[in-house]
Amino acid sequence: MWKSIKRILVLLLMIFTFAGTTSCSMINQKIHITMYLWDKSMCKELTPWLEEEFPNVKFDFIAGYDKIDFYESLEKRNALPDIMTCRRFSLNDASKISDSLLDMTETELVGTFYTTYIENNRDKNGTIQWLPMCAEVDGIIANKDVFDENNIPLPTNYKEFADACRFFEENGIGGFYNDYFYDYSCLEAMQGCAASELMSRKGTDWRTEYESEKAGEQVGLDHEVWSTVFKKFEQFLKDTYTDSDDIKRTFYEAKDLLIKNKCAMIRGTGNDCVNMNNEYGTNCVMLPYYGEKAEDNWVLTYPMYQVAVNKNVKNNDEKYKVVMQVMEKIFSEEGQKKSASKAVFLSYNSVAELEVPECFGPIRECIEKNHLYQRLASTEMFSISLDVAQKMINKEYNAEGAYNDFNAQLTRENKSIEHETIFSQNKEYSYFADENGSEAASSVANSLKNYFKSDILIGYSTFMTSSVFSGDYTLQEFKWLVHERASAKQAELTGEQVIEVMEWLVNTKEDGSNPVLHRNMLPVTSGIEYSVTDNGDGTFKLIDVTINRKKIDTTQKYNVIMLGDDIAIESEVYGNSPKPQEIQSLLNADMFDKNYMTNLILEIDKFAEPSEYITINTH
Amino acid sequence: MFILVFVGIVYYKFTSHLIFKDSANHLDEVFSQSNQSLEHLVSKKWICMRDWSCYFKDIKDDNKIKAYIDELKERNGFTEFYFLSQEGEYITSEGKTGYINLAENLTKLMIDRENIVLRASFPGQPEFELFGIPCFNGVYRDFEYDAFAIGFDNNCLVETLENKVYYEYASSYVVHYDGRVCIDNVGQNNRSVYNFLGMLKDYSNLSEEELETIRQAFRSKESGVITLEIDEEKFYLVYQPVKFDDWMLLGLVPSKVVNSNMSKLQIITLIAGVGSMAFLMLAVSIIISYRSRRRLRSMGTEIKYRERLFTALSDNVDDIFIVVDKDTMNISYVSENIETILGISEDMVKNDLGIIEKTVDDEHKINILEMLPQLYEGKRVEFEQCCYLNCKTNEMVWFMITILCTNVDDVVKYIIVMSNRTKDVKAKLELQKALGIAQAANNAKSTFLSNISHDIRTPMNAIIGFTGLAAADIDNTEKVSDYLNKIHSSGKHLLALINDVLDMSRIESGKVRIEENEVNLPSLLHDIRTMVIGQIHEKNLKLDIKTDNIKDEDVFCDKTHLEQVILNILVNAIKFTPSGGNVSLTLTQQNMDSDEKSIYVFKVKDTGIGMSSEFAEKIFEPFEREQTPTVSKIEGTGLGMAIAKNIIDLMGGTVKVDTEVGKGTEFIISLKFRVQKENVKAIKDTSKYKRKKKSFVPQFDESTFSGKRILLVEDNDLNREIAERILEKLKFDIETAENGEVAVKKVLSAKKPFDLILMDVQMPVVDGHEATRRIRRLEDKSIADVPVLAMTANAFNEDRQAAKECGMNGFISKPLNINELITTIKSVLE
Repeated sequence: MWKSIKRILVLLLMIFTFAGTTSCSMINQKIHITMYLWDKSMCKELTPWLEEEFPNVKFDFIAGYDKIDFYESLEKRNALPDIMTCRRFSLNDASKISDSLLDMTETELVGTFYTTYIENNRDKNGTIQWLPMCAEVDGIIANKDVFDENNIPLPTNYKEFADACRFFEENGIGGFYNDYFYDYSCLEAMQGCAASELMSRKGTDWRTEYESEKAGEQVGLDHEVWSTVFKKFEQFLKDTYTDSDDIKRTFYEAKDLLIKNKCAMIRGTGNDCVNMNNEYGTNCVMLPYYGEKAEDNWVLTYPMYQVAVNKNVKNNDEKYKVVMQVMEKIFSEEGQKKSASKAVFLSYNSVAELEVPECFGPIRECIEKNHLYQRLASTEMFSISLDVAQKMINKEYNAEGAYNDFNAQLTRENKSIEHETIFSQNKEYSYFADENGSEAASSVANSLKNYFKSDILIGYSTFMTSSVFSGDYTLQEFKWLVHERASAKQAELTGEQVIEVMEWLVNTKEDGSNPVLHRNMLPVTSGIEYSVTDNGDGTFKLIDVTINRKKIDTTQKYNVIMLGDDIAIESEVYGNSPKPQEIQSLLNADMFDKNYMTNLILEIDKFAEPSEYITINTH
Repeated sequence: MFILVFVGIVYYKFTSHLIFKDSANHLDEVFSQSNQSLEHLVSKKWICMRDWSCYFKDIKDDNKIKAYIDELKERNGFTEFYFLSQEGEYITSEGKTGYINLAENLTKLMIDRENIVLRASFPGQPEFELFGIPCFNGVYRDFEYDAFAIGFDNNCLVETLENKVYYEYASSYVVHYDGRVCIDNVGQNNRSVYNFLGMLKDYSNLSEEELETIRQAFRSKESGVITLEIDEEKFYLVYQPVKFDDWMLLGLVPSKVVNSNMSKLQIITLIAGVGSMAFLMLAVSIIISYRSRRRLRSMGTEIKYRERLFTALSDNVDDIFIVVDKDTMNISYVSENIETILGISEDMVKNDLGIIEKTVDDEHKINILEMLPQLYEGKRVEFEQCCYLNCKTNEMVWFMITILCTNVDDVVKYIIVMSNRTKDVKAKLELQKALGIAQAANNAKSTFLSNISHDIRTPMNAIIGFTGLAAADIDNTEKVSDYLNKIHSSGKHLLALINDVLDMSRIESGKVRIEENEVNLPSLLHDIRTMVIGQIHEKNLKLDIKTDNIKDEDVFCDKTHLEQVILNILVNAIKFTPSGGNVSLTLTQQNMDSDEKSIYVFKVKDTGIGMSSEFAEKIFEPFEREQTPTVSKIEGTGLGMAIAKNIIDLMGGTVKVDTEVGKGTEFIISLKFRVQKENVKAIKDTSKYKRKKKSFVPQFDESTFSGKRILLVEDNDLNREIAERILEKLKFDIETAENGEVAVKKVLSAKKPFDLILMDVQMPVVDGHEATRRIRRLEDKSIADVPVLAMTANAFNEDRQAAKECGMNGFISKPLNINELITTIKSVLE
């Protein structure tokens, strides 16, 4: 009784005390939530929708690295975001930062997940910290038109697949092109073609053992299972006419060939398939990884991404409540659809009913049969798969040699030079931008401009993945500061062209396309300053470009470094803002310095001082 | 009341505990039935499936198997039948193939050969219950299998969770150890839950510790019953382990449903019990209250009386009471009489105690405010004779101040009692003053006796000495005559001394009254001249009496005393002026003070020896005579000037002395007299003041009183003898009486009435006054009207008045002056 009275009194006191201030803090001080994006594609639909759904939340969306190791480095600096997303996920990797993550096992949100799927995310301690977003299909995209034009039916088993490849190759059309340039392509092809083995009882038992391995006790490959895997992969490489050229091939090159009917099949995701049909009008369909019989076909899937929450949010009840609301929103049916664009087909929880897209026809049976293989996607699996697959492609060893090498790498203690401290920064610069830009981005941009000895550096958007922390950096941590897709290109541009570049990167296009994916992602410049008008609806307009606060000379030529991920801006899926042709032609086609961050660390002993490179005026 | 509540709470808790235990047992039993029914159903499925496996072992025909399965499906209501391979692949009776993700259950089923039951799902389809058992290695439609399973939708097991006791009020859940719900049968008003532990965490009142206890129970598959609140509604939560998998059966039933009857009973018994107790306590309370009120009332009355008593005391005593709070130094009480005593209002003191200090006489200052903090609890201090000033009357007020520091119920206060001692102090001062006066009087008496002793002894020495010489020379008529003359002279001096002493005594005792008579001042001067002219001539002095600027000669004044004053001073001047000197008396009238009164100045000036200035200051003090060789030879009592000064004071006048040794003295007397409007004819009869020949021998006219009967009433034998001898000389027929009673008797018994009675006043038995009154009251007027002359040593006016009032006809003072006696008798008898 007395307890209740005291509670009431305390409540009344709080009401009277904070009556005037609480409302103000709610209005004036939005709850701040930082969310790391596994990929900028999330900015297309999901992040604008979340901002719309939570007007009282100030979101900071940061495009980081799709690696648990990256989050591990942030954790060391106590800089984990509130919400983190990761596509490359394994319980093995996740255990590295499990101490900093929120245990969601007993939440209602976890309760909505199907037992069959959520159990895959239960760690060895029985806790569930990562929740899987709806399934992405990763398999074989077939240009059905190519098949039809050649009167070749879509394959239903591995033999038919191999025959089709042979037919196309013999007829001057690429049968199956894989972008073995990427580690994930190597991993998926390797595991996809032997999905039935990996999904056997022995395969799943081994996987359980591998996912539950303890630190210092590396679990090697199961010989029975994995010998078959490499044999099948070796056969797969042979049947798809894979050679060393395929190692250099990027997805975009393969996609280009498929769109142009120069290739019948490529490796790709269901999302890619849907987007190609939508974007290029192709008639592509998804095919499974084939087994000997149709019953043995498997579709390789994995969650679009996994989502975890920083356990520190629990320190603030109000924030925790809002973060969990955001999580529920993300995993709602609408959230899942916005996450996966139109290529969704399988929700892991019971709150969403997703329809299988038409282009998934050939894999519908696999889906119905539940022949869905979820890739084993630990960081080491990616890196070893890349190495072993490329060596197999280069005929450095056969299946047995591949198994041995793979197993050896898997069980080897990793002692890379990248784990040694080679850089120390004594000053900290915040990632978060104010009205004059991001200190961290400006500091790195100024450093890179100096490194490239250019007049101007233009970052397409915020290429930074975090703040610049004070302290020691390993090479890997140093490289992680800048987004991996931020390529550097050089051009000689007049002042007028520089303005044109800035207009491309800032101004909303006539069709409404907005190259600025998020307010945090406005271009970063060094050597020039620019001012914009914030229209208040997520769009901006360039006002002026200056050098040392004086109007840029439109006729003078400048040595300009263009740094960034132009795909995110140009792709119809994301920014849908194609680069002006004139600029395109002036840019050096190749990335002239792929390893600029590695080289930069050798050049500098600390990052340059930041400068105020932007002025944002409210409309 | 508290006891009642306490007993109620204890009873409520006790019964609640009993109810909980009873309900818990009951619920445990109820949900055990559901649990058993669930286990029974699953076991039954497994047993049935085992029977079916025997059939599958014997039958190799796929069609027959399919027909059998179809029949089983229809009979048992399962939704699908799955032959399971070692790798988790399945084939249905219809020939559909696929993969069931059994995860760890696959090993359990295939390797451990255990029955399984689990929640399974296929992409895009709802979860379902899967019952599986291992079986022999068989082949169906070329599909090698080592186990088979049947699938049910949720309703299959949900039915077992239906509660037959609480129906829709109860909710049942089958959950995994981490709280995820497998199967639920949610009752009305309960929420659909995905994770039961999550729901408890978010919506129940359970603490983290209590939740952890439940988690542990789930992990270790323990059963139990607890009560909790979900969304502020009370529930019973029953948890029991299910025999297979990691399932737990949970039951959630609202307390109000479980305890509906028990709660009613509890409430009724509680109300009845508490009501009875309340009634009992009320009765006891009323009695206690009644008694307490009575006691309190009597105490209250007592307190009121004490208050009245205190108020009456404080109102009626001159003591001031002040109460000061020790902690705050605020004044909680000031007696109302402070305004009367100190002239400061109660409110002023309450506002500032220091205001009292401002009225303090510095000499007796006690700073109360400074004293208070130094006084410890239980101590008292007293200060006597503290003098304050009444602000309104400016009168000094004396106090004895007592300060006490007392503690009542942990409230410490100073009580200041200012006890008014003004009367005591004044009385003390008066006593001191009186003592001083008494001592002065005593000293004066001693001085007087010393002086009088000397002054009496001197003439007495002459009288006794010359009497002895006369006796020795009795035959020498000339010498005897000379001796008698000196004896007479000394006797007169002694008499004058006595008269002056008596006059002085009367003046100092306030018996002298100033009477106003019509007086003609020139006549008065004339009379005085007559009285002193003899002495002037004797000393060969020149007397000059004159008036100056007298407009009003007739005034009202006490002629006798005025004469006495002027004579005393004039005679003094004569005494101390050597032969050939001048003595003058001048009377002047100054301006009228008012229409009725005027100031008259008498100046007596001589060219005598004068006085020293030191003596001049003491000239009006009794027995003061300057000790100079000249003065010492001059007769005098030393009282004359003191008498004169006192009479002048009584008459409202002033006297001033202007003197110089060797040159003379001037006395200036100013007196204010009421002026007569009509002149009164001055009486020019000066015969009686004529100085007769200086001889002490009486002139007896023997024929005058011959034959007259006279009664001499005198108690003193010597006085009676002297009087007898004188009366004999006057030829009276004398009878004597020794007191008034004898005198009256003799008057009554006299054969021949007396012509005159000489009556002493002070006598034993019956005094002269009483005797006269008795005589006057006699019926026989012939004897009652007999002339009575008072004969007394009390020769003052009041004595004369008293004699007159009691009916006496005249007054003769003792010692008897024969001539005066004759004159007086003559005037009476004529």
